[in-house]
Amino acid sequence: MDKNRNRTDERENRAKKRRKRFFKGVTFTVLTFLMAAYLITVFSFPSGMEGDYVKERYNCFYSQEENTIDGVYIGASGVDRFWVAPQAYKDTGITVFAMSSSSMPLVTFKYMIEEVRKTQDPKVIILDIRSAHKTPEDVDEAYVRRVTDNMKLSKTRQECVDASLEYLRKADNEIDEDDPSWYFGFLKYHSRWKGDMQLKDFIDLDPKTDYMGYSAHLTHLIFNTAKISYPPINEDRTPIDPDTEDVLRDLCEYINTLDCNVVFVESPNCHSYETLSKRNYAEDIVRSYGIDVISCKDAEYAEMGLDFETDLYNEGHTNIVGAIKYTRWLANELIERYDLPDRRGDDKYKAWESAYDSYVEQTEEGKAELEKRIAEVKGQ
Amino acid sequence: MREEILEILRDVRSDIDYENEKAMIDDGLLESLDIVAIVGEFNDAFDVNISVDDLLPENFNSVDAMAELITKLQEG
Amino acid sequence: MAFASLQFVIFLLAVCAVYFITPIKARWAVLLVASYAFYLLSSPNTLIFMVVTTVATFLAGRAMGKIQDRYQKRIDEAKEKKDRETQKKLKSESKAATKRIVVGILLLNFGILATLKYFWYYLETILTNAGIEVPFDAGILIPLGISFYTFQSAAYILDIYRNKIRPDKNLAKLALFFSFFPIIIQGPISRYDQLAHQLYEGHTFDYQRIAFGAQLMIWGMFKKLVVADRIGALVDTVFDNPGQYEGFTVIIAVICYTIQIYADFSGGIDIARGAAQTLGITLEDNFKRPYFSDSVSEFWRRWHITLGNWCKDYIFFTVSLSPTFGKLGKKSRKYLGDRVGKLMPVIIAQILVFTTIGVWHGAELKYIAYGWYQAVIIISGMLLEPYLKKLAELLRINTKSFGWKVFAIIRTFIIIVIGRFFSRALSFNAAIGMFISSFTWNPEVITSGAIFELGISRWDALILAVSLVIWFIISVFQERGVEIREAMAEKNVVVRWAFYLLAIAAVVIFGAYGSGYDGAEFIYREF
Repeated sequence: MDKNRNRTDERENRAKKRRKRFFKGVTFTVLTFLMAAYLITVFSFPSGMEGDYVKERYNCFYSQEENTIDGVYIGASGVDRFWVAPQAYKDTGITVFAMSSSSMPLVTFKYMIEEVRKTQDPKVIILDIRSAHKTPEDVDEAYVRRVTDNMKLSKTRQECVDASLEYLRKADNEIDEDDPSWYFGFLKYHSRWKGDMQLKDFIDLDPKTDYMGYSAHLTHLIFNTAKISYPPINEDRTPIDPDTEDVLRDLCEYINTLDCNVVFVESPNCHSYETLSKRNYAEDIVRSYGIDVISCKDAEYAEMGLDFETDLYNEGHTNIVGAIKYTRWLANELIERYDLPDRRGDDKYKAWESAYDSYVEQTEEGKAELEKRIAEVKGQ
Repeated sequence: MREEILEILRDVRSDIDYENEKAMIDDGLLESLDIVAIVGEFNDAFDVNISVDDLLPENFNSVDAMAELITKLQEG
Repeated sequence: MAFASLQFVIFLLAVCAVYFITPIKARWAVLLVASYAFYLLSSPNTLIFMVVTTVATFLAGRAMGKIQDRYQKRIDEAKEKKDRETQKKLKSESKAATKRIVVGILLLNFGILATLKYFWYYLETILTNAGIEVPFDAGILIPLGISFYTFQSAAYILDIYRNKIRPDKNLAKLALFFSFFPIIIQGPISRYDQLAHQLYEGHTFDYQRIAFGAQLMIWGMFKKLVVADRIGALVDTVFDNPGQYEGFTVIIAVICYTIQIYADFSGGIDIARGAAQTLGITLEDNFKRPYFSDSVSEFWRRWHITLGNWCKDYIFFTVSLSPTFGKLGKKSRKYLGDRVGKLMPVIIAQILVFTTIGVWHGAELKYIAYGWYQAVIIISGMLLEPYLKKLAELLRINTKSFGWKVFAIIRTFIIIVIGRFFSRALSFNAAIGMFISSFTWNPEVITSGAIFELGISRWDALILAVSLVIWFIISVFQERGVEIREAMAEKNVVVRWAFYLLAIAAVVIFGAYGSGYDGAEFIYREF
């Protein structure tokens, strides 16, 4: 009788031990995966100044509720130094997000359009045409990575990488196309441990700026003023790089398959005569596909009330005063042409309310000082 | 025979306690050079022919094992 | 497929999963399929050579077994009749008959090895030197693990010849013994009586054993990814550009190579042993803290142990105990005196052993020089032993003191480091040149920071220093007999899990892999 009981006791003990070890194994594996997920998030494209706050902008976009963005403005710094999204919302109630990254290569635009339309249903897509004068030699790996390394992993991202690498190949640079870190950033960014990491990287796992894309964080730039010469009247056309032209045409063809409005814009600048001529050429191409173009020239500057002597911080970018002027003017254009709705008062869009509050808190003082300085300059 | 074996062993390596060690090969106490010297001396002293085939740990791990091996070889 | 990669981890997980689901008796077949799959994933074009060696060795073993069985019957009959003469005659006849097969199969297998690994290389060198374009790539036809499985199969045949083991009756099982995937890349060179039964017996799922195996693999990956791959950058810069550097740069480079080769090789072995352990198989260790050796002889008992053992069992003892060399020894005693005469067979055996070790690494002169350098040191040590002993007595040096031990370890380390010039330099001449150039006094390469421009930044150097200190401390514990993994298993669960997780994190964060990151490229300059 006792022997049987001992045997069953033994069997029970063994089963208990097995269960205990099974749970140990499962728990440890889970912990390992959690740690891996944490490390992958931490050791990624840099946040802050080093990454030009692109990561924060993208995180802000991805965190928006679905179908709350009525317009997306895509491009390079000709977008986020100009389009004060929270101000546009405050004035007119339109929700247009500035989805840009510095030196965003033209070849990535198509995929960014695809990406934003996954979670949003914009009535208009505004494209910055300023990148059209660039050549494959002008595009660095970092410019592409600003876009692709911050996109969520998806087929769109893979296609964006492929298209970008194809474009870059034309410049005969030494980019490793087989580098798996194009899809799995950790393989590259783990090397940031060599002095590139800060405490905030380990704590803030979802850094965001709260300005709906406007570069209100660039306080060392947007509150400055520089006397820029007035851009010359330019009706000339200079052909753009043939590879870039192919990309532009491909983009236009793609646009014509979409069922939403698309418009190309050139925000005010005083770049070289040749650059401006190339952009004219690019605009012709776009128009030839039946796509709208808003070109900013004398008439438009006057409508905005833009003063090149005070409203820019360098020849390519407006300061906050100039940006607000541009924003108000463009907002009117967009409402007239595309009938963008007024979302003020709708609870679903309260993120835009808080964005405006953050924007004001960030820029109130700096803006007031800038306005004072401008007044002094004008007074003289 | 045991005494002769011990004498030879102590002559080759004086720092091992041959009476008590039972795993001189497995524990790595005897090195290959020692083995060659010991085998040479055994071959001479006991008129046997220890070959490479006999170099198994169980034949050299202890003094008794060595005595057994030599006896076996002497008997053919 | 490389060892220190995510692919290998996934591969191993898949193999483990299938292994432990399969019924116990069939588990060896899973290992066989996995090993051949691994070979096809790594070096598919050369699989045929391993198959040829496997089949030929199998048949040779069986033939030998049959001959031995036939003679054994007759020997037993003679034993009954107490006919010692006949017994002796039959035994030597049996040996002679099987010897023919041994010679044949060894010629075949080593012939394949010599042709694939050395002949094509020589041909390529001759053609290149003659200015003729080489229509083939000599490196491409070298089968994965050919040195390892060839030496392993030779040991198998010779063990049968010596009646130490019986030949395997199952071709598939023998194929597993030669192709087992953890050992095919860099060993350890395993023996049939130690490994075969482990492979063929199915092993049960054992949580603790699997955990230990995984931990050993992490340790191996740490050595490979964090230490070896990192320190190798500086080694490559200096050694691939001989003549461009001198003095301290060269000295640092060769010491770094000494560390790199140890980290890379022992790290790979740890991954192999850890992987095998998860499947329930114990592989022999190939390294026992070699840089703690107090003599070059001892170094070769602690470095690439299985190769050393192979040479000891199949070359050293065969030569030094053979009757032919015994006669040579007696003859030389006449001319060289008793002591040296007795050492003659041993000296010749050592020369043969280290020639083998040299050639094992490669066909070039520098590798043979590497082997002979070791042999010269060891043989000199043997010949000078009594004189050195007397000298120590004269100078009243206590050779049993700790201070002397430290001196001996450092002395041995320096000798080994010098030998490394031969194994890493691009050629024998380059090695000599670099060795001579190291005698320049130029401490400014360190003080000016130029040393950090050769592939290892200050950050890299910091991580290396920390890693080496950790490794050194662990080595000291191991030298004292502490079993690290068992000791950790006794600590409380929070402590050891934190330790394991941090170890994994350290490997993936500090591993020297990937395209690297340069913050300067990423910062946007306004334009």
